[in-house]
This record gives sequence, structure tokens and C-alpha cells, in this order.
Amino acid sequence: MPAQRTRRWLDGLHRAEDMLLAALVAALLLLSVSQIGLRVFFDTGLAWAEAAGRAGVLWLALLGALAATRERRHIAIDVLPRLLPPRLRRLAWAVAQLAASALCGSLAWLGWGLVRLEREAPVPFIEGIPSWVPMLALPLGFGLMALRFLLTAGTGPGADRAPGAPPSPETGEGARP
Amino acid sequence: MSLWLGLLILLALAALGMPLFAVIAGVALLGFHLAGYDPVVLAVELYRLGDLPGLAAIPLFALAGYLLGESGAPRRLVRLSNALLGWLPGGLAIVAIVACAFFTAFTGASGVTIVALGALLYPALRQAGYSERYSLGLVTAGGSLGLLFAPSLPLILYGFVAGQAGGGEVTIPDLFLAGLLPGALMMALLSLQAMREGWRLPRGARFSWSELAGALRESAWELPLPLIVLGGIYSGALAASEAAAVTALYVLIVTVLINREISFRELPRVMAEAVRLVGAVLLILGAALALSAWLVDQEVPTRLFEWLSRHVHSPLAFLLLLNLFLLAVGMLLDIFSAVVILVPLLLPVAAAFGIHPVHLGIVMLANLQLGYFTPPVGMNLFIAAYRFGRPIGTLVRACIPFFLILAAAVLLITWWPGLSLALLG
Amino acid sequence: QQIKIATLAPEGSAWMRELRAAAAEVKAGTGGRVEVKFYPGGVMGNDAVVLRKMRLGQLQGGVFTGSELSLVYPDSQLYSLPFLFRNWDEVAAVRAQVDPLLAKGFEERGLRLLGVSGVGFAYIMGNKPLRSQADVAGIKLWVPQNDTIAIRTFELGGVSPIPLPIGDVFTALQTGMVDTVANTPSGAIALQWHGRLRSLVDLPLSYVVGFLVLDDKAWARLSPEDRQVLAGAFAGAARRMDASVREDEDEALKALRRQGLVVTELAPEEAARWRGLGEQVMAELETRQAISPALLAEVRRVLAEARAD
Ligand code: NA
Ligand code: NA
Repeated sequence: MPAQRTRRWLDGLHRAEDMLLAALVAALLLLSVSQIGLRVFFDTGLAWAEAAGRAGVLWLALLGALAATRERRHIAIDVLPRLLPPRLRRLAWAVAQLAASALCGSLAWLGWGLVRLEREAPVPFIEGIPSWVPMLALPLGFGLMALRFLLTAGTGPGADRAPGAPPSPETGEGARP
Repeated sequence: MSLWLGLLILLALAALGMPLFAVIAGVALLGFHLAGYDPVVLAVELYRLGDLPGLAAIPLFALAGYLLGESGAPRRLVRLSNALLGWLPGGLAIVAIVACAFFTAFTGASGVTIVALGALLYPALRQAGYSERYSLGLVTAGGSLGLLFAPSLPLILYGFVAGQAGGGEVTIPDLFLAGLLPGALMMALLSLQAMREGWRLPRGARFSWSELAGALRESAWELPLPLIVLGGIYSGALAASEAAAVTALYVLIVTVLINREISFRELPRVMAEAVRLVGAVLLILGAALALSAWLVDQEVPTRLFEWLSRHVHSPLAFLLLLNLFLLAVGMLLDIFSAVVILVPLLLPVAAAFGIHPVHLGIVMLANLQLGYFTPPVGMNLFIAAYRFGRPIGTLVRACIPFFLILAAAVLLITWWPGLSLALLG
Repeated sequence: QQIKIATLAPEGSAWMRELRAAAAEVKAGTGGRVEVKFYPGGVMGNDAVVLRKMRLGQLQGGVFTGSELSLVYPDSQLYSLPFLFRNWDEVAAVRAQVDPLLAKGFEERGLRLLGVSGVGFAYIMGNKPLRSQADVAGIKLWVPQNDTIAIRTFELGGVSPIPLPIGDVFTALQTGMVDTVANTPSGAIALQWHGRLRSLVDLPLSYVVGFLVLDDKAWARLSPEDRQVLAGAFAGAARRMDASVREDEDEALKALRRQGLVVTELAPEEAARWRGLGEQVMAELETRQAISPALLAEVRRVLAEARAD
């Protein structure tokens, strides 16, 4: 069945996305730890580590926010929607997500504007990479986020879980499906 | 589009449940648009997120927090604190208060205390029987406790800015001393509340050496962590900003390789969860920084303060209005901009009213600390809402008693200069 | 018309006093047509951010150190090259010739240079006297994180510098993670690092300089008369700063000495070694074309003349 195949495909995509996030944060940890190790034990360090780490966190943040959009876990004030009957609640959800999509779309556009601005007067970010490259996180991240908000607008707020999955009292962690 | 119409639309969207980062970014966009700037300025501001001091610490502490929270560490912490402090009502909560203050002093009072330590403490408090509301309030309000203790970065920054701006007698060591009693007052008041809360819980068992030994043995791998980090910093082997990497690595090794409480299969999910938290939180922080930058550009804090100082004629009224002003500023402005912009404005006025610059610094930071979790826009509320998966409204309600207690402490600190200046000699 | 200028200099510093005086002069001289506003203390962001905001028209100008501006105009770090100058007289001789050349270089990059002023000489300051190569080899030296020239120089000299964010330095000095820093005496006092500094090496490491630049688009919008007023006011402010900086730095050094800091000299062969390393780094920059060989040649020519006298 095509619906099932789409579902499987999406699950695979989401798993791959999570692996990418995990790999990124692992890389950041490795970079920070090796920098400390190099300094303490070998009296040296990597000149590009600091800049790369900062850019890495920025990419991490945008990709993480993209994944948070998928899980509908962005922080929002949901006092009013909770009081609405289901129908109106779906409508409120759709309007809010569409507006978020439009805003992310403009942020992506402005991010692209920043990249163009930087390309007019590029400076080295780290040896061999110009400074506009790490900035691509903004148009890319917000662009994909705009797309995802558009998708979630259609599918409704889901069960009674906003913002974020209800955590289990034992661990305080969001319950996973 | 006028400012008010735009704000109205954005507020309506916020009420319908538009994500907060989008609401705040929308307000900033509106502001820059009305100021007549190229809107790409907003992207420039969002990209400044990358210049945040201690940025790399945020994901690493978040990772450590998720690993600790999903491991058996909270349970072990409860056992250990029962074994050690079972006789003391509110023992675990008091441990949490002290730990939060220490941690914030070293990491500089961003939300990292919540994502790193709160992640461990919240489940522990819940398992020990504390109510959800109290536990949430404690870890959220505790997220900025300790701002007054050395070597907190805002305190150092105040010393630098005030020293330049004419508060000649302000030295950083003096500020470190001055922060001790006011900081201790805040902790003492919260500890009293913790004891009241603890009365209601079932009493712990009588003290027993064998239980203590068992609890210590069980936590043998977690206990050295604070010693390694603090020892590393005090011995000069580590910079305070490097604590996050050491902590995350240590916790990763202990939970995955030694205690094996998180399997390799689960690990990517936990890590991805930490990154999602970082993403959701940093996006709000980035949007808030952009809004803060717009306020700075339009000189809003300066104008507000000038208006204020024209209408004040007594030291007492000045201090009271200062409290309210700083509370508002603490919610809207990031702490670094707030210090850099406001200190030069405040110093001369405060001096005219005979307020000691060191006292002023303590008052200011105590106030800004409160701003971190002041409803409706204190950053810590959002971070805790995400981390513990609770609606903002729940967080706000949970924080109200803590806000009232700490606000009382701030008033006391404000009107009782001796508390700040006693140790200066 | 509004001219908005950002700077890292904190409110209350000598820079801000002179800049505000210049702004008042501009307001009076243009009959209120031009209003200059300042954003001190780094609230507008770091150098790269301020330059972006200038290109977008949110800001019109900024005050930068030479190394900050090196991203847009590499030659701006010319004066701050390691061990280039030995004293204030050499600085004065070189700047008289080279300032106008730098102004031309800025102009080619869309920036109008309104004023140049020294901030002071950065010295190596630490917790113990340094004389020999062995003394120097043992130091734990802080350098700013992006200061590639300083890092290169010290690595060549057998010292592995410790790059940290500037906010970490106070605590790092307290814990002993670093025991030596390079800064101007007044900078060390302002940042309150002096509590841990016991000795200063009397060998100027680098001459720190500030440039006040305006974006060309803003400059073009001004009428010729207003431009003259603006240029005159800010050149005057820079001159006053320059005239007082030497005294201010001497005062700062005296204040440090009163607190127990001793000024020591390196052994002659060690001083010569560091000067040689400075030369080597300069030569490297020259061959990589990271700094204009023509400008460097001019600096060397003037210095040779000054030293021959
Ligand atoms: Na804030
Ligand atoms: Na300086």
C-alpha cells in the first residue's frame, strides 16, 4: 500500500535525521575533549577548533529545532487552544502553524540575504573555508522548518500533547512512541 | 503597518499557539522594519547566537543532563540523600538548592543549570515524593540561583563596567565578597521553604552507617564527577568554560560503558533528544537576543531609565523603582547587554542618592537573576517547559511561590546595604 | 542625519569622553544637521557583526583595533606587528608617514578613516620576573582566541599560548590556569587582572591602535561642509587621544608599580631572540602577501631612519 510505504519511508528519514543529530553532538564532544586533551597533555591545540565548535552549535541548533518541529515540541503558549472545542482547536493549530511557516520562510529568505551580504566581502572562516559557508545554516534550517510547519499544519495538533510529549512522572522524560 | 497593529496580530497568533520563537522573531522583525532597516539585520542578529559566551557548553551539558536523567542516577541520589540527610526535612531539596547555586556560579546562569542539573534533580525530587509543582518550581527558579557567587561571569562583567564608568572603588574581589551574604540569604529562604515542604513527606529511616555505606558504594561512579570538575578548575587544569566537555564525557562513559544503564542502541535517541532541546531553546534565545538588539538600537532602556530618574526624588523610591525597572529589563534584555548599558546610567544616579556601587551591583544582579524566571517571558520558564514537557502555564504557576520568596530576598538585599557591604571591612 | 557608531570601548573610558566631545562639536558645527550617536561597550556585537551592520546601513561607523579590522583590510594590523616598535618616538615617526597610506587603503575598501589613535603598548605581564629563555619557556600565557599573529609568534618562540575567551581570563589568572598575559597596563587595570600580575617585561610586544571608520555610503550622503566638520571633529578627538595616551599609559604603569609590580628586562640575547622572531613572522606575512610588502617597506624605511638618528 502506498500510504504504508510512505510511512516506512518517513520513519527511515526520521531515524536518519536522529542519527545525524547524534553524530553532530558526538563530533562536538569529541572536538571539545580533544582540544582539552591536546592542551593539558601536549601543550598544543587546534587553531580552528573554537570557530568550528561555535558554527557547529549553530548548525546543531537549527537542525535540532527542525527535528523539534517534527515532534511538535516547540514551546508555545497553549492556554487558549486547550479551552477550545476540538474543531476550533484544529483551526487554531492550522493558523498558528501556517503563520510559523510563513515566518520561517521569511527568516530563510533573510538568512539567504545574510549569505549574499557576506559573499560580497568574504573573510576566512577557518583555513580554506569562507565565512558565508557556516551561515548557510540559516536559509537551510529555516527553509526546511517552513516546509515542516506547513506539513504539520495539515495534520492537526494530535492527541492531547502540547507542548511536548507528556512525560512519565518517574523520569520526567517525554514518553516516546 | 503600524507597531500596534503588528503587535496585535502577533499576540493573537501567540494566543492561537504559534511557537514562541516565531512570535519573538516576528516582533523583532516588525521593529527593525519600522526602524527602516534592511530586514537582513534580523539574520545578522540571529547569527550572533554563535558569539554567545560559553555556547558550546549548552549542547554538552544538555547531553549530560539527558544521560543522567535517563540513568539510575536520580534514584541513587535519592538513596544517598536519604541515608545522609534522612533526619532533615527537605534534605534532598536543600541539596538541590546548594547544587544549583554552585553550578550556576561556574556556568554563568544561562539555562544550562536546568538542562544539566535540573534534569537529574527533577526526577530525584519526584521520586522522593515532592509534589510536581514544587519540584518544577525549584529546578526552574534554581536555574539562576548562584549568580551572586564567585566566579559568576555577570559579577566579573559588572566589576569591569562599573570600574570604567566611574565607580572607582568597585573591585571584582570585593564583589565576590559582597555577593556571599545576599546569595546565602536567598539560599536560606529557599531552604526554609524546602523544610516546610519536607515536613509533609514521610520521614526517612533512622540514620544507619550500613545504609550510608551502601548508598555511597552504589553512587561510587557519580560522586567523583563534581570533585573532578571543581578540582580541575581550582587547580588551574581546566577553564570554567571547559567543564561541560569533561562532564559530558565522564557521564557518557559512566552511564554507557560502566553502569550500562543506557544501551548503545538507545544512545542515538537520547543524543538526538538533547539536540532537539538545544534547538528549541537556542531558537528562542536567538530570537530574544534579536529583540534585545532592537531595544538597544532604539535606546529603549536608556530612555526608560531617563524618564524614570526624572520622577524620583528619594533614595527609597529610587531603589523601589529600580527593582521594578530591573525586573522588566531582566525579562527583556540579555544579562550582558543589561549590565553594559545600564551600569553607566545607574552609577551616577545611585551615587547621588548615596548608594554604594558594590551594593548597587549586588542589587542589580539579584534583580536580573529574578528576571530569568519572571512570568511571562523569563527564559528559564521556556527551558524548563521544554525539558520537563509541561505547559508554560504550569511552569508559571509552579514558580510563583519561588518568585515571591526570592523577590522578598531582593527587597531585603536592596534596602539593607549592610548585608552586601558587611564583609568588605 | 544620524551617524551611529559602535565601539568596544566602555562608557567612561578616555575614548568615549573624546568621542562624545567630538559629537558635540559636530552637532554645533553643522547646526544640528548631523547627530552622532554611540553604542559603547560592545553592545552592537563584535567587529564582524558591526561591519555587517555598517554594510546594511543600521550603523554608519565603528571604532576598531587594527587586528579587528584586519578581516576587511589586512594592512590595518601593520602597526600591531610583534616587536615592531621600540618606543613612542618610533611610533610617531612611522605614523606621520604611514597613516595617510592606510587611509587610502581603507578608502579602496569603502571605508572612510576619520581618526587613528594609539591605545598603548601591550607588554608581557606575569606572576614572576622573566629574564632568560628558560624563564620564558615555563610561562602559561593567555592570548585572545583569534589572534593568529600572536599565537604564531609565541609558538615560534617555544611558548604554547593558551587561547581563552576574554571573560575567562580573570578566573584563569586566579586559578593559575594562566599566569601571564599580554595587554596594555591600562587594559590590565581596567579588566582587573593586575591583582595577579607581579612583573612586566620591558619590551613592547605590540602597539595597539584604534581606527575610527565610517561607511562610504553614509559619508556620501553628507554635504561637503558637514563632511569637513565631521572630519575635523574626529581628527581632533584622535589627536587629543594620541597626545594623552602616552601619559595615561605611564600613569597606569605607575599605578601598577605602586601595587608591587616590578618592571624587568629580558637578558639581551633573549630580547634579541624575540625581536628576531618578530621579524620572522613579519617576513612570513609578507611572503604570503597577507600584508602589503610596499607598506611594510615604507615602515622599515622610516624606522631605519629613526634608528639611525
Ligand atoms: Na533575560
Ligand atoms: Na586593551
